Amino acid sequence: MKDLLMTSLVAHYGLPVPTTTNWFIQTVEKYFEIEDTDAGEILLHTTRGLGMSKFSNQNDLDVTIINYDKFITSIQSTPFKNGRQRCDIILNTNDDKYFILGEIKDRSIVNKNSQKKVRKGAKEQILASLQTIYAVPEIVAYINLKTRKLCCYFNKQSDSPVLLNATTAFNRLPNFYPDGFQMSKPDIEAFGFYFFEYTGEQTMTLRN
Amino acid sequence: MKESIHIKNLGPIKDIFIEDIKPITVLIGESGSGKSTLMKAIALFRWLYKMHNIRSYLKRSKVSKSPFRFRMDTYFKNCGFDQYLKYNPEITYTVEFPNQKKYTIKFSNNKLIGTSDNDLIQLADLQYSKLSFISETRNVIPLWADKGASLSGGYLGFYFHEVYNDFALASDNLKELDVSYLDLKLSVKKVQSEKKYIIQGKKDKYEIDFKNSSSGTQNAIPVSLIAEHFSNHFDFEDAFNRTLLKFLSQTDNITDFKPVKNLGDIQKKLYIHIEEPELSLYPDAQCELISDLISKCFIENTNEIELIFSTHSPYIINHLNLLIKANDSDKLIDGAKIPFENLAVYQIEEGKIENLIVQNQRIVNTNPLSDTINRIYDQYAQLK
Repeated sequence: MKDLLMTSLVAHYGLPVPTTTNWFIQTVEKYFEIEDTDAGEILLHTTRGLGMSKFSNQNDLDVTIINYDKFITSIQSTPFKNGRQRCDIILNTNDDKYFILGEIKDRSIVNKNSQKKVRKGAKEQILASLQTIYAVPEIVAYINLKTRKLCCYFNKQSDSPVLLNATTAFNRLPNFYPDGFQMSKPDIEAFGFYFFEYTGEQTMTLRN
Repeated sequence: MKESIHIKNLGPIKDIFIEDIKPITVLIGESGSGKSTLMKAIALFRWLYKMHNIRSYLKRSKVSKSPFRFRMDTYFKNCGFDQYLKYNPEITYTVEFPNQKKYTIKFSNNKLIGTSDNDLIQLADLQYSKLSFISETRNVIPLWADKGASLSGGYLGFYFHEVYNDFALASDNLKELDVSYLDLKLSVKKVQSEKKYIIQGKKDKYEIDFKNSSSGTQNAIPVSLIAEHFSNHFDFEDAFNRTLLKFLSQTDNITDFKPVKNLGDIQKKLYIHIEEPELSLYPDAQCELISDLISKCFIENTNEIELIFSTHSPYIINHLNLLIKANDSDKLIDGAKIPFENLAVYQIEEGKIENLIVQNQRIVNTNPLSDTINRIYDQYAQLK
């Protein structure tokens, strides 16, 4: 997928080829978390609790995590970039299984939006990303080969001061359902994708 | 029977489609998002469908002249929608029966379609319904009731008088109401020709006038009283006969009337719409009020009821999950349970609607109402 972004997407929109580095990670780790840093980098962690989105990969699938936000940001074309919403990551497996667009909520997003609209903004960023990549026939052909097409909102659970249990109290529901919530999102489903929301300890399980 | 509604360009609502209005429908969303607009539009079109049923019944009973005309400008004004008319709103309400027969009432280009003589409801599908809209203005009821006749002639808006009339009707039938979630009892006493509403504390044995009770009590009691009245005490036959008589007396051809069907053979339904049932209540009481409401409307009821309410309460939304789980475990929580299939929860945002029912579990996604607490402590953590 990273090659298709760098060649087909760039060619389709008539853009200069980006020269960005460190914009994707490959892993076969059985468990990993992804952190989206304030500097716009994505980091892979295999220690629990360090990342904002959690993945279980017990079948050792070969996973590529693309920093889609960084890729788009690196394109030297103001008309293309300006106002173009994009999600944080594209995750795909090196087989015919997973193609995932992911938006990771973190504190910098809270700052950016000052108060609210984080949830809605996340879905809009994912939808806009789908629209951007679906304009590129080669990418559509690639996605069509995948059997599990998902859009995911990773909603990191916040911490409150030790003496208070407000955040944990309000976020207990995900503890009962570790596999994430599939929500109805017709705009996204129109692309053949399912929309999932992950909060707190909820973990995306990559299955064979 | 399946109801659907599609609304476009109605004030804060840009485009909302509900394919199947469930027996329990809950609306959340920020202030001004359109929750009340949606609820009022549903209530209005349910009422239009009710009146179309009455007209169909009369026509099929040989009353050739229609006793009333639909006046959408008046109805829109009552709903507070009159200023939306310039944006060309479109509302399509459809009722579909298991035999796939559909009846559609549509408001488009400032015209109402689907209520003409060519659109009459078939005999087998006739329904008689009663609607109640318990607005957030219900907190004025205690004061209004206390002043009684001295305030007659005053006007506090269509929805206040609707809820007041239902409250008065309910308190004609119910002289006492046990409000266990507030640990008190409402008593309705006749003093001379007027009704007096008394609140009695069950534990502390106090007794005060309703108008002097807490704001939570003043908001909650109309909800519980009206729900109890409609679920168990509403006399369909009396209401139906009064409706018929009213319209027949206006047509001057009462002798032509040959009733085509008895009320007993007509489907009956009650629709209750509530704005923010939790108003002024402590979180525990909010949850218990919802259990009480569900119990009255769906467990202890004798009349068939459909319920829609709006809320800002994260406690209520989370409590719904408990009631779903109670149903799945075949248990009751404070006398209540909710079959998952009978519940819909929608978030209204920027004129559109989002279904909060989780598709791969039997729960409601409560995260949208938990985000505020997360945001508070995210900001807290950032302050060094």
